[in-house]
Amino acid sequence: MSSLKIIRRRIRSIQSTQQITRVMKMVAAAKLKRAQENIVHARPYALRLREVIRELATRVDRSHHPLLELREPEDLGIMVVTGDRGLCGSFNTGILRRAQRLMEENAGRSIRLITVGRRGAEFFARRGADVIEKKAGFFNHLEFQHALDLGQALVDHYVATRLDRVFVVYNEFKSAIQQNVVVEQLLPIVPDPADAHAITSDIIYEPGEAQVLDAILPLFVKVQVWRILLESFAAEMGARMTAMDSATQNAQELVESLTLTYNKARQAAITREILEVVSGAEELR
Amino acid sequence: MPKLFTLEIITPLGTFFKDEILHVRAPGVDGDFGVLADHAPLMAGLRPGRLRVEDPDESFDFVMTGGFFEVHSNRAVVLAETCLRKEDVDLERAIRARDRALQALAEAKTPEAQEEARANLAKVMALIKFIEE
Repeated sequence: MSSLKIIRRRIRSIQSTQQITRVMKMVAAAKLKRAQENIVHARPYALRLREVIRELATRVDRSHHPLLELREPEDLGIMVVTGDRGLCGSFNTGILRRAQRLMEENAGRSIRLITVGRRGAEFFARRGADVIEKKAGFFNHLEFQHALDLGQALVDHYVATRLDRVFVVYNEFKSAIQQNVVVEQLLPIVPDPADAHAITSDIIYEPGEAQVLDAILPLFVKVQVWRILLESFAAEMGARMTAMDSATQNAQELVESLTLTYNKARQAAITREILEVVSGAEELR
Repeated sequence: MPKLFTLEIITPLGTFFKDEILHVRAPGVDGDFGVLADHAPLMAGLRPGRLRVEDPDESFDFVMTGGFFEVHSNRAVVLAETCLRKEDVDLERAIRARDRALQALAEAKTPEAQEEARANLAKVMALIKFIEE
């Protein structure tokens, strides 16, 4: 009898966990949809900026613009983009592992970290890494302003502490079920090779080519950061959706096998009772 | 019938406006300028301020917080950091943002911080001025 009670309690507890995972999956799916829309909306702006920079970069001396100038990579900055929360499969661990590998590859150089998301901040705080900037807790109400602030902080660190390169490690959003960990160079900006046809030499720049470039480069960094934040958030939601879906299925399988065990135990108990009654009756005869 | 040209206003949140228009007046870094069809190729930095768009029937006013203006073969593109219609400006929020910007300016120690605080202040002041006109 007591074993029956224990099984019943386990079934109920698994069912309530299953309810949570099911809801988490649905919430992630809804957020994923919004994040995907944002990615699509952000695209034309980023593409246009990229074209303008490509054209301008061919007209000016790159070494005059700190955000374009290529130096020997001695001081590195690495921006690690994780989520704020767990329960999303290998989303965070994949990023942290890749970031650590990048740090090992560059052992001997000075490495400073910029962490985005609570998971990364906690991970590197435990390991005593040199974290110069921490941003967390905004993914659930992500706005362009967050990208502006973060981008500005990156540019400030890059210029003030003379980082030679800034890399970013983040999850690229491929589809709802696929995320790729990628490493990209954020600074200095490497303009795409100029396309000879696209260049029209008679454009008037107001107030001047160098000034327009000076204003557009930091903006470009911020727009890149915005894209990265959106991609990472969409990837996180995709990963959580997949993880919670399989958790829900696992819970279902557990409930089914426990229900079977429960029914067998109940049947055994009933059979035993009948036997007792029958053999008791036999005795009396 | 005067000649029209295409204007697109793009922000990081998406395409804000796209239509055939007659005239646009934009807040250039060195002063406002107007653009009609068949304008020479131009790329200009914009300061925070008002963007006035006229098509043959009516005119619209938008407020933007800095960006770039580009026109080329009768296609004009405004790359705006943010762009809003009058009814979308949250005046209370803008006033709070102005107070924060003023405070940041007062507390700024380095020239860079002052510069940044001043730029932020210019953005919110453009919003507030736009509403109050």
